[in-house]
Amino acid sequence: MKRIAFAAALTAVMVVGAAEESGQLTPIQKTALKKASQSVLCSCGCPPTILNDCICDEARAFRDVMTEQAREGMTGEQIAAAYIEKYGEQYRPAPAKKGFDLLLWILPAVLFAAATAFLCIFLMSQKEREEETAAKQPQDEYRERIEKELKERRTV
Amino acid sequence: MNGRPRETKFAFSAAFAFLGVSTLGFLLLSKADEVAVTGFPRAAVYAAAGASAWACLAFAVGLRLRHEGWLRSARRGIVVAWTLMLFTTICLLIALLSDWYHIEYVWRTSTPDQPVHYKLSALWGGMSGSMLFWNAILTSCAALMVWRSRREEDRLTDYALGVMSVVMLFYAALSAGIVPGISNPFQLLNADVLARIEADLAAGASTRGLGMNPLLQTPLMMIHPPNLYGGFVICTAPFAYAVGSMLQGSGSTLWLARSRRWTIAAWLFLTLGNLLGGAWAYNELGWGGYWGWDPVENAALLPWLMITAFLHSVMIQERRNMLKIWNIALISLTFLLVLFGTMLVRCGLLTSVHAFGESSELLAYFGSFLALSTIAVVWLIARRWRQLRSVNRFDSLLSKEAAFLFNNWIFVISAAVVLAGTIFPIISEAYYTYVRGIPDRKIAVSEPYYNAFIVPLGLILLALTGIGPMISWKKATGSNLRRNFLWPTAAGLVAALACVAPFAMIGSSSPDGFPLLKTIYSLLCVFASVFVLGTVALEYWKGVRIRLRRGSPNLFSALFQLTNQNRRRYGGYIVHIGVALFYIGALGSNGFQLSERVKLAPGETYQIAGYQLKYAGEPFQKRGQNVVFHGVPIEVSKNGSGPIAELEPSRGQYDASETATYEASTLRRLSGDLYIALGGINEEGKADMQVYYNPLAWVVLWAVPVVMIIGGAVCLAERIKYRPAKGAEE
Repeated sequence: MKRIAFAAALTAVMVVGAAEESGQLTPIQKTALKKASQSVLCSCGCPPTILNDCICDEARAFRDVMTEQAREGMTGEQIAAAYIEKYGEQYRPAPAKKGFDLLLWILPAVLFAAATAFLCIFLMSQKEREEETAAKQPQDEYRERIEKELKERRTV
Repeated sequence: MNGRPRETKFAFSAAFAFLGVSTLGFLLLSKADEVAVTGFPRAAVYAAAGASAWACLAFAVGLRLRHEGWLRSARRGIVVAWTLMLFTTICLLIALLSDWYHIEYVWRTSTPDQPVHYKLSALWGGMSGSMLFWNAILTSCAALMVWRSRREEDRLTDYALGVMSVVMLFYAALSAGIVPGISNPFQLLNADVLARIEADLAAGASTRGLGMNPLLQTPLMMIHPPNLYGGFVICTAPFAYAVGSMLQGSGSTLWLARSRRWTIAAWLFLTLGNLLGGAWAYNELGWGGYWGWDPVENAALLPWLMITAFLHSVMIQERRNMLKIWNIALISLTFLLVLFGTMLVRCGLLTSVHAFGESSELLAYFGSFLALSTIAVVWLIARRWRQLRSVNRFDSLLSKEAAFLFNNWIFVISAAVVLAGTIFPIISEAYYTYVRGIPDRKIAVSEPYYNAFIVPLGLILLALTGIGPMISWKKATGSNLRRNFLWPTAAGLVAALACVAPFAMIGSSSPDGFPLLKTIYSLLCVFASVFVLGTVALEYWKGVRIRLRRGSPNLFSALFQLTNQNRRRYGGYIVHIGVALFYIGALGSNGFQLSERVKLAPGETYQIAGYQLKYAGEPFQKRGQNVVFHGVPIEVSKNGSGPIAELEPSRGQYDASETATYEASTLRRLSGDLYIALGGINEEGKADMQVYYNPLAWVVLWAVPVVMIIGGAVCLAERIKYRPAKGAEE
């Protein structure tokens, strides 16, 4: 068992070493890079484009820097945080869920709740009206029936 | 019988005669002096604004006094404004085709070596030209309303035309160049600039004119803006009928019948405009997607959401005479959101690839009109509140009315979510600057925010797309639900279950994993899409079966007869097929997209989605009419077989522009697109590319627009009969 574990560890070290030597990233580093480049925006001046999707010269230069950071062992979150710290909040793809910006995240939920409440109240008021009408309806029917029967008696 | 038909025919004959003669005269005079002759169209825009102002005044007086003479004059005013706007548009096209660079607009948007079709599309490639084009469409709509109401004394259309003339005046003033921030399209180039250009040319400069933005020099730009502008502008007509109906105070549902075709046309153009815009972004921007939640994309989406909600809720008013206020509110919001979107694009309120520039005066002008329009609509609704109150009521939550109400509820919340995301950067910046004293703290709102809310809302909407058409009016019974939903639900469930294993397999092989929520959404999307397709298929099958029993010779004939008999209903079903296809395509191309940055040296290979890419050969340069493409040849093979295609991703360097475009190269297959965008060639000689595999992207970009055109055209061909709804006070 120990032998298998040692062989596996050795293989892993060799794979990592080989990948680094050839300039390629290990799967973990690759995931960190992708995570980081997918969680920040490019600053090239185009509309908010996720850095991972942007192919402009600036984006490619940033991604080269990020590749180096991933190779140094930084996690995706750390790379993204470093990017935001250096270039500013506006390069976050969505506002942070804190402070005033939290409002943006709460607003749709509040709207959803308010619209649902409005819809329920509206439909319930309709239902009440329906019940009122239904309560009246039999009386009208009975009255009609009585009148009809009385009329029939009179003719008889 | 009044003299309206004869008068209208005369007005239109005179308009066409004027157009012919004046265009000919313009061409002949331009031979003598092409600078002086531009004074005619320049003045014509002012005259069109004057004619619109006259129409406003004459309608106001005529409708107030119920004086036919004033009304006729007002209608003539509309025809005059239309003729003058068309004349100016034709003149601008002539100027663009003839390379008259003394006109500032032509200088800004064209070069002599720009291909002819892009000289034509330069009409909407800049601020003042596109505004003129907008005016041409708007006045054409108003003229068409005049023409269509020629036979009878149609008081409602007179009121609607009165509203149209106010909107025409607003936009005509912009085209005339009265408002700072936007110039008359025939404004001449500043003498100093002209002298500098002449000096540059004498010094051997190769070109004249700045030329249209390279991103706009693409075939899709020939059709995307006209569709979008068409959609935006046509929204004015149903709004005018709604406001006209309130002004008239009849409380009738006639405005729904009158505005029906306009609404469908506006919806169809907006739908195509948005879809074609997505196709343009996909082909031109090089980021492998078609929707980026850009503020201007959002501005085009907002009216679409509202008008789609209106198209559904209007059916409840037609059938049950309910939701009268709601319908007026929806179509008014559509118009107001068009104004808001135009303000975003024209005033540079937000950063976008589509924005035209910044102008605070223009912002004030648009803002004032937006505020006034909102106040007017709210005041009118309040004034007619009693008249607009619903007569009938909802009988059950399990009914078509309730399904449509839920559908409206989702559309409106979606619009609110998109609107909040679009304007939040402005609100946040204002808060941090003025309240917290932190200037220049900007934020961006992009994909993560929109996806968090729009995806679940969209899935509910998709399910309602299947439920709405099939559920009964008033109250659905158990047997109705079983009859209409059993098989589509079963089909949806089978499809979703069949996808569980493949989705899990893809998730396990993906380096990022496949998060649980994404898997659930994907399965729900498959279920709901198949459910919608199932409901439509079932509905068609029921109708076709009856037709075949009644003697239709074959299936196609039965299908045709069925659709032809109730074009509105079956046109709507075709549109629903398009909606389901859109979701399937979007699921494939967004949910299962593969994206890799690839650096290849000549001779090197890379594997993605079963394709082998080989950088075969050397970098190349190809000369177009006004552009040089710098690219690399990429040989594509699949599963070890020989090359199946050679892709040529490149960057385009336009003669009159410093920025290079990304010319992605795509291999289209039924299963998906292999899409390669070239970033550049690095110092080591490696081609730095972004390679995407977009499953089913063609469904969204090509199949859905075709289905929508067919469905929309069938709906447009509907035979509209005005029938007062039950309980209506006509």
